[in-house]
Amino acid sequence: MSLLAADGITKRFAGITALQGVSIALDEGERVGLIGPNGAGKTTLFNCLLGLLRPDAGSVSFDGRDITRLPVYRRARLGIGRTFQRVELFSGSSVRDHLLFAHRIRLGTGALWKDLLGLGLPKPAEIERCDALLESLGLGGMGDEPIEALSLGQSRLVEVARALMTQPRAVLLDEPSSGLDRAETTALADTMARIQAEQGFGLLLVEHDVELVATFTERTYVLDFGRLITHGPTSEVMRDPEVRAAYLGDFAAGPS
Amino acid sequence: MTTSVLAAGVLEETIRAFFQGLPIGAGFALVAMSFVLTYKTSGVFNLAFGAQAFISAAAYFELHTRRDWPIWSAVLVAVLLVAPVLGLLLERLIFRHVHAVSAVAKLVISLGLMVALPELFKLAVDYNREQPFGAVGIIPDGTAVYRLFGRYPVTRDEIAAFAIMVAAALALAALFRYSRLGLRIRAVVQSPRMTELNGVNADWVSSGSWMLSSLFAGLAGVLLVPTTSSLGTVLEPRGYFPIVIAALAAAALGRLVSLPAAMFGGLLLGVVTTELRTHLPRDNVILNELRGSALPYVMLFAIIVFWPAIRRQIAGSDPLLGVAPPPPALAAANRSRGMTVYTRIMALAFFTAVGIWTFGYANNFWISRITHSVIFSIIFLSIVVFTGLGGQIALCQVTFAAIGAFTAMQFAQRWDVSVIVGMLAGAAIAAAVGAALSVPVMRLGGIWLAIATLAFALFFHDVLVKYGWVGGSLFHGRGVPRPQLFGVDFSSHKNFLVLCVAVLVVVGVLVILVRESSTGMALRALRGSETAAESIGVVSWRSRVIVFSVSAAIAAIGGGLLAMEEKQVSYEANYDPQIGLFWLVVVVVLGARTVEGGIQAGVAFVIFPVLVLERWLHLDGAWRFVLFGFAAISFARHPEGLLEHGKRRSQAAMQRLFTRRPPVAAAAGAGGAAGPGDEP
Repeated sequence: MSLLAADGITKRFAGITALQGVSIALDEGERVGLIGPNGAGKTTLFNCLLGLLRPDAGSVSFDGRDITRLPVYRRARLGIGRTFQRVELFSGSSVRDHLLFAHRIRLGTGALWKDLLGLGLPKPAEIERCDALLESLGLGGMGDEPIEALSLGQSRLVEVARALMTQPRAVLLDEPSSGLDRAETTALADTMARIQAEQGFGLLLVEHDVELVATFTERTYVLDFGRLITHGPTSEVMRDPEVRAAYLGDFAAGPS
Repeated sequence: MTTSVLAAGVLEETIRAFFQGLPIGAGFALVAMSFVLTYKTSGVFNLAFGAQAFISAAAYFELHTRRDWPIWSAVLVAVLLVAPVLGLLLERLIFRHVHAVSAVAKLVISLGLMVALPELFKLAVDYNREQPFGAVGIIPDGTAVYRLFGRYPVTRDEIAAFAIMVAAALALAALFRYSRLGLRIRAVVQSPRMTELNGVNADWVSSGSWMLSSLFAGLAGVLLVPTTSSLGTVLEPRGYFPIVIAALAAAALGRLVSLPAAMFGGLLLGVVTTELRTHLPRDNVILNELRGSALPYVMLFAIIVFWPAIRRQIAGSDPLLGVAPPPPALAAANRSRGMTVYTRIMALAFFTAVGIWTFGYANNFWISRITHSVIFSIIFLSIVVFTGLGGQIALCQVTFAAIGAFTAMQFAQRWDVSVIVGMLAGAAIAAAVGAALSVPVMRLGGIWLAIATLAFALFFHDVLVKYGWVGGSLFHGRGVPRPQLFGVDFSSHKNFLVLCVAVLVVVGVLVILVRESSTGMALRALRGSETAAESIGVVSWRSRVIVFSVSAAIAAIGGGLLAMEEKQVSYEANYDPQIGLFWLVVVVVLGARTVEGGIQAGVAFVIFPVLVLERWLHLDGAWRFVLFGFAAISFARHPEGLLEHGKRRSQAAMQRLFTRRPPVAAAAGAGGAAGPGDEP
């Protein structure tokens, strides 16, 4: 039984079929890539997995439970974390606030009555936990920084940290290399690989950067025109002639 | 036989109501088209159209009725000169400079104008609203009645209103379809920036559309003078409020972007209004009120909540539209330790001096004014919670304050229960009403949330307050005692002031605790990115319902105290929905993000007109509406509030003066904070 699975997902927009019977699966502790040219349906599938879109046919399950009709926040509370292609942080909040709040949401410890009694203020143990994660992501000492003062690379790491504070069992990364240079992308990938190895969550990477997918993931799914054209171990997928024709072009020719 | 006679009678009444509804609907349609035109071209949800319509109508009244100008020249000046020039001024001086700000910020500006413009007009032309108004339309002998098909009576004024609306709609359609200006307006609607890249001056196009929409509003204002019974015999801005609300409902049918939908929506609502007035039974208070001015409010609320197109509306489609930077951090967050100590010492000294003066030297008038300031500070903390922390605009805080006042009064009068218990019960009731109201409207957010809450406030004002179990008509709103608590009698002015200060301190501390704890974090998260907040498990609607209920309870506590202070519920003076709009304007202008800002707004609301305007400057108190109304424009540039902005600047200057370190606050506030995607 897969941790997160999409089974026969079909999604249409005003007569245009964005996804046609697509099935993918993500197991605990593995790193899976999802690639495809522009318009292939990657983001649509991503949104169906997260609950931002409801599929016209097919189902989404998490740990054996059908979550097709669950709203976004319920899926998040089950243990599905995500990052965004266009960084989505909480303006006006500090870096630590992002983590602290995610932590409380996960534990369900926030309540109005506690706030009114003064029991909702940040506790030293919570702050320590947040700072420890920031330290491990290379953001040590930045807890009090307003998020407006961060670089794009740092912002992406804060997104990752926020997702990790919810103790996810599956993390979905939406084009994390977008806007980063090669060095920043490599640093982010190394950090993610380390954290993923430590915590053991499943990781689904939706990405344009084929080099990142080739080096970072173990299995890869390839979409084209809303259909799954192939999937399997990443090294094999990269050599698939259909994939090369549809998407990879000259890239796969080199390494292979 | 009897049944067929009855059916024929009903049919006759229905057809008659249809013909009577068309001219009223024509007025709604004109204002609705103005809304759409302005919203499409500049993203401004212009609540000030009622004020613009009033100014044209009042100008027509001044010229024709009071100065004996011929009708044609009065119309020419009021509609073809005053209205477009007003539209041009608003666009050139205000809205052109706030194109990239959020729709909510533009709504706040239009609220300010709605408050300020009519008062400015009255002050400028010495307009005497008490003078009986011999309402005449723009057609000579307009009250002459014709019979359509020999049986359905319509006046010349009504025929003229309908014909002019149809002609105006056709002219507008032709302008959009065939003229260069129409083509450019359509392009600017899609993307002003991209249109400019093609060599079109988008600013001039925007000016043109504002003049056009203002002309429509002015035309509607003049046409509706004789046909709208709600105006009575006195021409006032208030008379245009129901028209604006009905027009809003019509514009909402087309999601504020479809001119044909706005036109047909206006006509439809005009007909529905008269049909319901004709056929609704008269023996029920609510249904009877729906026959009057409450109907537009109910229609607006129903359309916003149930019209599926509004749920699907996506705000802003301009790919090159600028993104307003987040408001700078609070001054208190960035100041040095020394500056914090200095600020606290100064604040302590100030409050000590005020306290010594109040309790040692002030007469009852000033003690009462200071008590009012404290009470309004409490009420305004409800706006701090929902608008400052929650980032949303609600226009019914005044209703929650009224609920608190009425509940305290009812408990004391009806059951002889302590007013303190009544006030707390009022807070609980207001919180429950807020929760019930917020379930359908909270998912809307932005301007729709603001308008839905305004519709609720107006419905309460026109209908609910007339019930004895709400407004307490049995007691005529009088006789609210001051409390006794733990053996202390708070009936004296000074003792009651102490009680109010204590409540303010408690509420202020609670607001700070909420702001700094989980609830405050949830609200900041939702303000920053609702999608991201939900991705970590935040239930957005639940957080907003909670904060709306808290806000309602705070307003009700303030309302209860106000009733105790005045020893009665002065509903018309204190809890009118239009006063509530002014409350919001005052708070957001001065600072809605901090407890301090709410307190400063309370003091300014009460003390400023008495002390500064009337005693020092010897000006009419109405100038406060003009000053604060126009000051709302500053919300676009300084959403943190003018006082918070001034504090940050002066703090930066002080730190430059006393330290050699570069002031952090100045750096953060000077050029706007960098976005999350920017390099440092």
